[in-house]
Amino acid sequence: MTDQLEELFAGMRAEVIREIKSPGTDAAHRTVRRRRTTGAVSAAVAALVAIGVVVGLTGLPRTSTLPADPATLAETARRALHESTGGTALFEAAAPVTADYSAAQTAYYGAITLHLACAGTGKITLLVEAREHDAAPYKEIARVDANCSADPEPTSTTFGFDWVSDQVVLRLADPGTSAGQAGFAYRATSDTGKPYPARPLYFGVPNRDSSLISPEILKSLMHRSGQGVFGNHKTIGGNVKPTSILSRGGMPDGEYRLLLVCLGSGTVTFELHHKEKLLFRTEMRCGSPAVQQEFPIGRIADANAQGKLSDVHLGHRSDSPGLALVSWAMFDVA
Amino acid sequence: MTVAAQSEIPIAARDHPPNFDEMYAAHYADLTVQLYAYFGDRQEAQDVAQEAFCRALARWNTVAGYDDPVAWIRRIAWNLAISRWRRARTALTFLRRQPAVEPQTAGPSPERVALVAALGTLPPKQRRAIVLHYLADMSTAEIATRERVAEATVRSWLHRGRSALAAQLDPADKEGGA
Repeated sequence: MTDQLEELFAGMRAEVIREIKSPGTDAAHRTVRRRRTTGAVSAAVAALVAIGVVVGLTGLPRTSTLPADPATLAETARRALHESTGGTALFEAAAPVTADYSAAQTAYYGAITLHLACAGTGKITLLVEAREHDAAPYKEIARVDANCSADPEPTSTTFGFDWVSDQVVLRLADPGTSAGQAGFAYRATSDTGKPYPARPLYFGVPNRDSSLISPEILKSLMHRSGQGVFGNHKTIGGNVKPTSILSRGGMPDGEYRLLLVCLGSGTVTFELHHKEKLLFRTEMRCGSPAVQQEFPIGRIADANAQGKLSDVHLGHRSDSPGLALVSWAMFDVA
Repeated sequence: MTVAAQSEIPIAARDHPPNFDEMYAAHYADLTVQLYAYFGDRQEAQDVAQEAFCRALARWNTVAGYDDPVAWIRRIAWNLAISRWRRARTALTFLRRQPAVEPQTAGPSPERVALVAALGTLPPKQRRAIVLHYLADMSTAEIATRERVAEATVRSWLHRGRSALAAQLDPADKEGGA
C-alpha cells in the first residue's frame, strides 16, 4: 500500500497543481502595502481617540440627572421588539445603553434583518461590524438607528455578507445623551427560515471542503460510472446572469444527471452548453436548510469532437443581499 | 507562534538573498497542494498559502537572510492552518473584485475524492505527518524536529496513518482480503 499511496499522492499533486490559480506576487505586494497603510491610519485614529477621551473626561459638563433604571428600560425595549417581530431569531439581546456596548454574534447565510428598539430618551445607532480575518480591521457592514421613547417603536435594516465571516460584532455608535438614560434591544431574523451559520461544514466535520455534497456521496455518484464533474460556488446577492464557470475539452459520452444543492437566498440557474448550444437549463430556489434536487440532463455525445464541448454556466438572482452557497455534481448514470 | 517559527531556522548571512517573486513562483503551488491535502479545500489552501507568503513579504529582508526561507514560509503556513486565523479569514476575498460566481476547474477524479475523504478522517497529527512525508518529501527526522516530538512518535503517526488510509482506500482490506 505504501507504493500505492505514493502513486495516489503523486497523482493528486499533479491534478491539483493544474487547478491552482495563484493570486500572484502582485496581489501579495498589494496586500502588504494595504496592511501597512491600515496600520498607520489605525495608530493615528487611536491617538485622536485618546485625545478625545481626555477632553471628554476633563472638559465637558457631566449630567447629574439620574435616569429610570436602564435595565428596566432594556426590558421594555425587548418586549416592544417581541411584539412586533416574528420568526426565528438568529440572535437577540437587551441591555442598558452604554458607550462601550459591544457583543459578538454568529454570522449566518441569507439576508439578515436586524430589528432595534430603544426605551428611554435620546437616539441610538447600532452598528454591525465584521472583519475578513484576524489581522484585518473591523468594517461596518450595516447600521440601524432608533429613537428612544417611553413607547419604543422598532426600526430595522436588512443586510448580508459578501464574504464568509464566522462572527459579527454589534456595537453602539456614540450614544451621546442616551448613555445611562435608555435601554435597548435588538433581534436578528433571517429570510431563510432555519438559521444556518456562515462557513458551513457539512455534517459538522471540520477540515473538509466547503461543499454541500459530502465526499461520500460524490464518491458514490462518480463510481456509478467513474466519470463526472462537480464544483462549489459562493455567490453574493443581486442578479448574476448565467456565467461560464467550467469549460471542458470534452465530456465522455454518456447519459448525464445533475445533483444541484443550494443554501441561502434567491434562485440559482444551472445551464449546460454543449457544442456552444444550450443543452440543458434549470432553475431552483435556494433555501435553508439547503435545497437539493436531482435533474435528468440527457445524453452527451460526440465527446471526441474538437473545441469546447461542455460549458457549465451558473447564475444566481436574489432580491436580498445574502450569500448563497451552491454545490453541483454532474454524473453519468450509464 | 512566529517567534517559535523563527527560532527553528538558523539565521545566516547570504551573499545573494533569494528574490521573493522567484521564491513565490517556485513554491506557491507545492505549498498549496500540501495544505489542500490537509484541509481538503483547495480555495482555503490557496488562501492560507497566499497569507503565508504575504507575511514573508512583509519582513522579506529578514526572511531572505535565513538559510531556508521556504522552510520558514511553510512553517508559517502550517501554523496558520492549525490556528484560529483560517477559521475567521475570508473564504473568498477576491469575490468582491470578480464576477459573483467563482470560476472553477474540472472536478477531481474519484481517486482524489477518495484520498481527500480518507485523509479527512485521520487525526490532525497523523494527517499532517502523512502530508509532510508524501507531499513535502520530509523525512521522519525533519518532521520530528518540526513537530517537536521524538522520531519514533513520527514513525508511529505515519504507520497508523498509512494503515487507516489503506483500510479506507483498499476495499479488499475492508472485505477481509477478497
